[in-house]
Amino acid sequence: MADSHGTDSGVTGMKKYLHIIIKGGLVIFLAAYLTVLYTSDSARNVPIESIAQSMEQDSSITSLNQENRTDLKHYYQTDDRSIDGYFFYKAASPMAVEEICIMKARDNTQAATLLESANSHLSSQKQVFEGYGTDQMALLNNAVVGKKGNYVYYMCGADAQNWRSAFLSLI
Amino acid sequence: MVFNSIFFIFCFLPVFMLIYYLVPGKLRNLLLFLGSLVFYAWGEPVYVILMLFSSVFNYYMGTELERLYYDDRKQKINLIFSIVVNLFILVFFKYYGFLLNTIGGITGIHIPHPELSLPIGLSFYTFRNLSYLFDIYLSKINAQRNFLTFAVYSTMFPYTSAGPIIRYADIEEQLTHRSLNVSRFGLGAELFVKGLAKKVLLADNLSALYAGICGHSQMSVFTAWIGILAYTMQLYFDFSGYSDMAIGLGKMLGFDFNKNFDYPYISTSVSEFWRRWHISLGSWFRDYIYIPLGGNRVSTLKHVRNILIVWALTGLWHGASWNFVLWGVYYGFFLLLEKFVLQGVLERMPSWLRTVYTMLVVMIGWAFFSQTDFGALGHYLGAMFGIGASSFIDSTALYYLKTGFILLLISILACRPTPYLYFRRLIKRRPAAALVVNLILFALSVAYMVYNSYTPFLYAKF
Repeated sequence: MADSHGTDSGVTGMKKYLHIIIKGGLVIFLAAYLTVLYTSDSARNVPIESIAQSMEQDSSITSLNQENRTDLKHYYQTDDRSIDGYFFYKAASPMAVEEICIMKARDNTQAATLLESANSHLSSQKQVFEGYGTDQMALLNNAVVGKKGNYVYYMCGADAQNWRSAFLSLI
Repeated sequence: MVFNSIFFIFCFLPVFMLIYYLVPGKLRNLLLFLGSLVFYAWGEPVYVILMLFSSVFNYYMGTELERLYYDDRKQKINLIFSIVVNLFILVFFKYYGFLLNTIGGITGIHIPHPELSLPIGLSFYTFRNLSYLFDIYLSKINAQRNFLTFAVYSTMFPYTSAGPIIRYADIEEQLTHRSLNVSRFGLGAELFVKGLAKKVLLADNLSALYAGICGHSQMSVFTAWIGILAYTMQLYFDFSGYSDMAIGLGKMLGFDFNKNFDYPYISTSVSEFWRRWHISLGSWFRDYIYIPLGGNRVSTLKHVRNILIVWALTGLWHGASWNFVLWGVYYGFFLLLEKFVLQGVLERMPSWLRTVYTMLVVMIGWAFFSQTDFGALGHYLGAMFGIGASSFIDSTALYYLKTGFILLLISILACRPTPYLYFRRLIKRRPAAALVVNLILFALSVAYMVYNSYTPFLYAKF
């Protein structure tokens, strides 16, 4: 009887604390999740000019054509108000797909929008070359599109992975 | 995923709807929940965890608030805990950069801080979940015992990204019992097409017009007013278009969501404008902030304080930037002015003049809304009133007037109820003709979407 009573009070005690444990668990989960997010998507605030200066040391980039804001708007449907700066080089020939574009958004929400634009640009490039441009398709399939902090990048070319590493090391 | 994308309209929606209508009623909530997760995860897979956490947390806290019904103190502590956690998430993603910049601005200490991207629809689902908890605390509703049913409410894809902020009480019954039929589906599809056309055919073209004007470093007074008119119309068609699509999708899924816009640009006062614009947000602030603060049943001074608090918060809800706070306070000021000074004057004015006054206040207000940088805001507002403007009217203004005239005219007509009343009559008299109109609007919208690629909704970023 005494045992049974002891077990009952133990269960009641557990139940009493269960709600606190669940709430504590939820808060710990949230803290862990936010910490992971914070460390994985954050980037240093580096002016686009400094990034351009470093990236332009690579001749595989400077061998491409430097593009202006109108071209950026044309290819990425960007809104001038959402962009703090950009770095855009593209192959001169319309039959070539080599391209590197780094855009710095004014804030992170606009960066998410730019990322959609970059993904959309990649999809439309694939649509253009699908079926006949084997070499171009190979490059497009290995293109890297991503976002880190307020920066969004689109890189397509034989050196795309190296460009990406070089860029990420700067921010 | 966004509603105005080819993938959503031609892949996700038909496949989802087909399965939704084919599966037994019992499985529809599960399907809707899973479909909503796919919809949300499509663009931001990492944030689907946050949305799920929010659902689990608020579901659990809802049951806790109900369990503690007879213990006032503990119930209040749990409510505060829920609010703190929900607002902490919102502040973490949306406001902490703003707070650090503000502190830095005051103290002169630069605090470096990497910023995270804002999860789509965070403000909307946080407010939705908070309204659920407040209503349980106020004994207006019972907590939902079934997690899946609550999760459907919390994550449903039609309103996840940009509202409306649907109250649990409004769809409680429909979450478990809803009817599907062809006529409801047809009504929903019609609303969806109407919203799509507003967004793609009007808002996106108006956006191009406004963006073009903003690209000029020098502008005439007339150019600035054409620009702000374009932005005024863009914002309405963008957001009300999204709301129409959301309500239409809801109908197709068997839900009835309350309207979020009621032709705000025909308002004859600023207070009427706010009863017609983003109705779900206005009523949220009224019910959960303004009334608990005492509303208008307090001294005049406290009443003024309540209005200013609510409107500063409304501004801040829209974005982590001082221009939004200023925009909110600007409206607070005009609401107070109407309440205490202009009421008698407005009543004596003819209706058209009151609409002109309201639209002037609203258009100037949208200038605060559109320019997050104070320098740019000052420059634009100055140009509107001739300060720093190149002239009153110039060739650029005439160019934009010429190229944008038809678009602006259609927009002005389409933000009034008359065309929709004619369309409703057409449906009654000649349903086939109405169907043709809808098909033409749909085909044109699709053609624009293919041509214009991706254009996000303005309000999705809030």
